Amino acid sequence: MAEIFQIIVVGGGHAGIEAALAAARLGKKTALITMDTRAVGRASCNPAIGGLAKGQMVREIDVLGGVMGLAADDAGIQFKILNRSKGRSVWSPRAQIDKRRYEHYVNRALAAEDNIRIIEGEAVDLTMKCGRCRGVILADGSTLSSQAVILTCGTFLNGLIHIGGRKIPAGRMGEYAAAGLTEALTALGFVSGRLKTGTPPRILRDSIDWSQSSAFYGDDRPTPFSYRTQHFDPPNHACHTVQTNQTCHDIIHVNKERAPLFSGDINGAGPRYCPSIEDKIYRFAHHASHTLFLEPEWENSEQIYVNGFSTSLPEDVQMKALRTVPALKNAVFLRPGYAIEYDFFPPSQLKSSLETKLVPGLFLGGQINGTSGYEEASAQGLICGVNAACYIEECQPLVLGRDQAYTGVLIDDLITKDTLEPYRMFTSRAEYRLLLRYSNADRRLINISRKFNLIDDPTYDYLQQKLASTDQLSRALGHKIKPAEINQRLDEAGESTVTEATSGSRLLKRPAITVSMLPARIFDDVDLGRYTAGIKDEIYAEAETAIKYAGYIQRQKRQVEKLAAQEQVPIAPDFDFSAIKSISNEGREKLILVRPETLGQAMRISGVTPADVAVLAVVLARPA
Amino acid sequence: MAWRETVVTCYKNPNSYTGEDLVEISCHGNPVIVDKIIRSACDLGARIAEPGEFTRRAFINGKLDLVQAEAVAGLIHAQSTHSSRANLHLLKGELSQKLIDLRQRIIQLLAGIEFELDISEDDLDPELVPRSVGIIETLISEVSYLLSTYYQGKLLNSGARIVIAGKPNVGKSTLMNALVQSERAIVSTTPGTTRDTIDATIIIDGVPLTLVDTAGLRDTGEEIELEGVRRTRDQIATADLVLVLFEPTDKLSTDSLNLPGPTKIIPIINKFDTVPPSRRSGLAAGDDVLMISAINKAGIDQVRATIKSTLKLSVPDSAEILLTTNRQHRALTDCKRALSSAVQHLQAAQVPFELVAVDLRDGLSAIDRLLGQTTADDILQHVFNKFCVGK
Repeated sequence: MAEIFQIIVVGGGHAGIEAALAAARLGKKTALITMDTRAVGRASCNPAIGGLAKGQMVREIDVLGGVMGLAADDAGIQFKILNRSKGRSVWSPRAQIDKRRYEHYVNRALAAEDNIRIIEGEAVDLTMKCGRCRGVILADGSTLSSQAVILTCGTFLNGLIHIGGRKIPAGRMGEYAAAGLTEALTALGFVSGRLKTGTPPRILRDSIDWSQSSAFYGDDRPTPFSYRTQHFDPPNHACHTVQTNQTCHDIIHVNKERAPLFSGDINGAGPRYCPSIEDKIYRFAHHASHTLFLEPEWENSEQIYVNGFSTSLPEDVQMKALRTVPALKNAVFLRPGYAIEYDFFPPSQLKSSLETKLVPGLFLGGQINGTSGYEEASAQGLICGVNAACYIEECQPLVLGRDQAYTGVLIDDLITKDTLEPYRMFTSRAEYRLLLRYSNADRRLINISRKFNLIDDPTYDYLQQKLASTDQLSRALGHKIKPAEINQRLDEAGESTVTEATSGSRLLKRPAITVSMLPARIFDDVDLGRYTAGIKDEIYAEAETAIKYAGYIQRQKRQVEKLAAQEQVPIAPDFDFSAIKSISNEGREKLILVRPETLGQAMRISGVTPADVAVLAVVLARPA
Repeated sequence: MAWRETVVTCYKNPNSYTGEDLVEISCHGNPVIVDKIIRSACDLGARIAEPGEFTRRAFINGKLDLVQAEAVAGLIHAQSTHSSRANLHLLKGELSQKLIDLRQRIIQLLAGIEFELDISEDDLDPELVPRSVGIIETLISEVSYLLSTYYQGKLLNSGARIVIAGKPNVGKSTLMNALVQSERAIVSTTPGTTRDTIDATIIIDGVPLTLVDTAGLRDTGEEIELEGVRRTRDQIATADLVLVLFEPTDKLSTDSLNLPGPTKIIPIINKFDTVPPSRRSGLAAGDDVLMISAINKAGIDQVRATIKSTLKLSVPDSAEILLTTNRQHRALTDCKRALSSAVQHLQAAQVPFELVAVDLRDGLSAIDRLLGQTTADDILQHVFNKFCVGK
């Protein structure tokens, strides 16, 4: 007897979890299919959440009702805001996490949702009805019916692990690969591709000579990811660093040909931003050493993650090279590093809702779309879950703009840019970076989150209050300050003193001046007492940023407005790009391939020139 | 027979001017033959190209960038060898090359800054700021130099407008005729004869100079003449140079001309031969007033020489790249402004790197606009190639 669900999610990784939770919160009866129920929520690579650009995304996920921030706050063992010295829009929170605790947290969250059922099984095919995706077929032959299907299969589709010349079909080390789904999708007309990623070796804690490493800690005053986290008092455990050396490099260099990346065994493209150690040594031969980070995988972990040493070299070479590092002289391997190749589906086959253009009711999220990273996966999963629910209810999908969220930048880039390597988010991918701060994720997304019913009432009320307090503070900073009240502080900060009463906002225009330097009396009537120290800092920072960057923020907002009209011009799904004569051949080919939904998307497709866009705009404006 | 021989050359895409399949027909130049070939082709479904269509197609297919496409137009309209040479430089892509080079250096600079913002978790490289400032200052000076060539380039391409102004019957048309060395304008002794403006073009040092003869300026009640006076004032307002003519008995004042502030003028006393030689030296208040007799063509060479020196006309160095259009000048002005703002930010005690990045991107987009290109992923691409990234 076929079971009936409204939404089926295939895959229990970061993307699948957010997808299932979002669907369930929107009242949809949801099945989460996983090949191993004990592996749901597993963080398969580094033991950290957040980081540059990614921390901003975790905040966005949080405001949109996702679980990632809450889980990271619960499981964090070291919190740090990165880039503190480099500019407000690139401040990025990151936490080292206890991976086991993280897994427990998300499993509890899944268990708490009555609408979710976790089913152990392997999806091998889709069922179709009237051209729409209406369920999946499992390897045991059973069928699960639904109104929409979300695929979040990670690296499992025809996954192939490489360790030197050894090849192991697997989705992750110790977990079976999934076969059949790629073929089912290609039979439907989808194009698949192959990508590669890697992970470093894990070594035994007690085999490391820690005295030969340097310790690093997180912030003394940690900042939580989630606005919903109530009791936040995380530990601050150290991470350690060591350096590679010339002998280490020589060993890798001599054995380079034994790495499948160089021997030609691996065809999939790997991420340039997360290169394997052999790749680093090959491409950056002039670097005398590279930093390795020794990170515990959980609290009191006997297993240490060697961040920076991702590799596909044979195990003996990995060990020999690592043991040249003094601290790792006697290192014992718990697991070698490996590279993994897997199938993905070039995401230009998706709409901005993450529904496939080809098959209505089918949504794809996470590494299957060619992305990399927990945060990128979670963000897509969340959008898939929301939009599968919208699809069922036949209402407008949730599509975030490039000026609204990194999540918007992510999905827009996926659709319009060639995916030649696993896609990772960077702040420089956002043309409106100044507008996308981790500290204003609430302001950016609160209304849209409310509109889609993703945010609960207490959180909504709390954030509204916080935004109101920020605005009050901004207004209060307009008050005049007498020279006698401020000159001493200015002097101490190395700033020139003032001779007449000057407004707080005027003083804040000076780079070195912060709100906390101003006399408290001017914002006495703003009640900030109810906030935690971390949130109070954030309110100060937001008010400061609005003043300090006013000119630039205004300019970016104007650019957004200028492009808004163009951005929204719709292009019909059956629009005939081949009929446009006066555009470049390459531009035409790319337009036919991608089939952009709007003029805005068309304009960002690689290979489509501004001249092509100008012609397209004229054609679209012409009455049919 | 030779005139029957016609050569047809086929160019396969993308190796043609437009980047498309292209057929070139070379035949005898007799218009009858040419016309017959065109008509036969049109009968078979061909059509006559729109103005600039081949170049537009070449641009669309990426065979020319915008700067080069502009040069094609410049070349077609070139009125002198110097002007056509300047446009040929552009067409060959010399300015484009220079711009691509500037663009590449800005991208490199941005890569260094984006690396700090996006990837590095280490402390700031202490060399980054001084190195970046040094590079940007060099860029600014190169952009400034390009901007400084615009005056010369504009003169070569668009020439200059020289307006001859003065009271009625002071000899404006006579001077113009002397300069043009032809009877282009009507010359009359009745005050107010030249009621409309009349122009003619002469070329000095490769620069096309449009001489504009105007209605004499005086208070008049006559309607047609009033209109002429109004037009004269318009001409003066947009002139690159005004030759102001005086009678020997006039007070040398330009007040009645309502000259806009920065207008260049050359004051000229005409009919100096009507003054006895002994009194001539007292006429001019300074050395910069020319004394001529237009009707006797006396002093005309001096007028030419003064026009040349006032407009700074000179034969350009044949290897020099010149900006020739307002679009180029505007874009590079924007670029320079953005770069200057970046330097300013870099010199702050606490450098706002993200604002530096915004400025550098603005500079980049100004150049891209000029070339008609997109930036796309160029910056990250460079980051990946240049730096060893990733933990």
